[in-house]
Amino acid sequence: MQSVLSLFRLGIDGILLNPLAYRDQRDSPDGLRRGFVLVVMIGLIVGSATLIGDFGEYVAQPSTAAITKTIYDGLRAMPWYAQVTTVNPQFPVQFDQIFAQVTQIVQMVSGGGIIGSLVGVITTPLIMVVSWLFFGTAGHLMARTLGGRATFNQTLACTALASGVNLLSIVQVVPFAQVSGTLLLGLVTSYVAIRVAHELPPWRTFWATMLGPVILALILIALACVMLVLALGALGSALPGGSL
Amino acid sequence: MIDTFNGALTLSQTLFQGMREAPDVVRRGLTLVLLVGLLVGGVQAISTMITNSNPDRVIADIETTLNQSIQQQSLAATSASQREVVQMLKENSQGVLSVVRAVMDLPTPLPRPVSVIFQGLGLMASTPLSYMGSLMFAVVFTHIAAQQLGGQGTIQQMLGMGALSVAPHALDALSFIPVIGSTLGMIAWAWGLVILVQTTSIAHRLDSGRATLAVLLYPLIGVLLVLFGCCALFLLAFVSGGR
Repeated sequence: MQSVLSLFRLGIDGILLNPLAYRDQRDSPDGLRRGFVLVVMIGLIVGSATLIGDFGEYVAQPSTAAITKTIYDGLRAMPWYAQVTTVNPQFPVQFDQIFAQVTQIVQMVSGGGIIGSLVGVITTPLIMVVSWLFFGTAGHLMARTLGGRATFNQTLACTALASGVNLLSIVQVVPFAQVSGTLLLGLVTSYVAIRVAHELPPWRTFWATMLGPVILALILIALACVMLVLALGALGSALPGGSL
Repeated sequence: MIDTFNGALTLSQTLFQGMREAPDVVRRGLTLVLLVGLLVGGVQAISTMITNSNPDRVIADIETTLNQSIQQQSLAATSASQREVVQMLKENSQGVLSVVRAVMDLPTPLPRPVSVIFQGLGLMASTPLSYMGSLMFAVVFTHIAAQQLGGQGTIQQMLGMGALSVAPHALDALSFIPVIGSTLGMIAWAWGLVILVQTTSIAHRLDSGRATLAVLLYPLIGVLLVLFGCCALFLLAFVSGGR
């Protein structure tokens, strides 16, 4: 319990950009091990908090199936539906296909409900560890290129402390709570981590910090474009003639 | 903390100088953001819970917004097809409201008041992070600009002291009051801007002119880029329309 509390305090020091905590982490012989445990612990706490919050939302609102059916029935009962059906007798079939596609996309975007949250208890720590390793490696390579002196272990030990920002996501334990502002704060904590680990001047640290997020942003933009094309293709196939 | 809050509002130079040298500058700054966020979020949560506990009032609010939107669109409609769309919106607006009411009347596993309380708590918990998100944008871009203009402050000093600019946003707690709510919001925003300029000046040891430039540089560049983009789009539409 003592060590869990001390790890929690370490995460808070990471959020508060405490340079002493980052220096301790860099110089500690078990900094990497402590960092790994910190990232996994934060992942488990956040995953569990999200599960509790999502369960609260689940029991406080109608089921997705009931909402979908109500909207479906409501749209069909509106005057526009009858008007369009008079002009185009094929419209009800097309409407059903488009409504099913849109419902699928909404369900995909909104996550997998309680099952998704249960899976999230396991996947959240895994994603956090992978992100930590990715950003730590990218930051380390760039920092070394720009004249940094820290070892790989020291960089990872410090960037683990930077991932303490994810502790803010605990707020999701409250149903309907939204997390914001962690992305930029995460960049700032990573900046402090790389600066302290490699003792680089501000501008070199800035560029070393930005490389990982820039690569990730480019990958995400490419993925979003592919998803958009696929979604448009799926919607297009639901329309007559097979195109939008 | 009350002294920090009052000092920020009164632009106390002693407080700003003391915070620059304090080792716990980030903790003090973020605690202020947390307190202001909880205060504003708490008041807004109570206001939202009172509104949401009466479904008829929620429907009436949506109806008012919908009618205003349709009215604006009917004023902006110039072509026959646009007027046709507005007419269709008018004919179907009652249907939309019926769907909203039907969704609100659907049964939930827990009684409806529990959902209303959860939504209020969610709003209250989210507000401090929402303020922190906006603050991070302001602080990061101001810090980058200040460094380019020769500033010497650290990111810790900039974040902790920049957080003081959230203090006037305690006025946002009164945003539920019709008419004066938005005016108070504008006052809080302007007041916060002045505090950000002052704290940037002290954190980075810059004169007031450079500190103002540091705060406004990237927002101005952003506005210019948006204007440039709009002009380019307009020209493109004009050229393609002329063919």
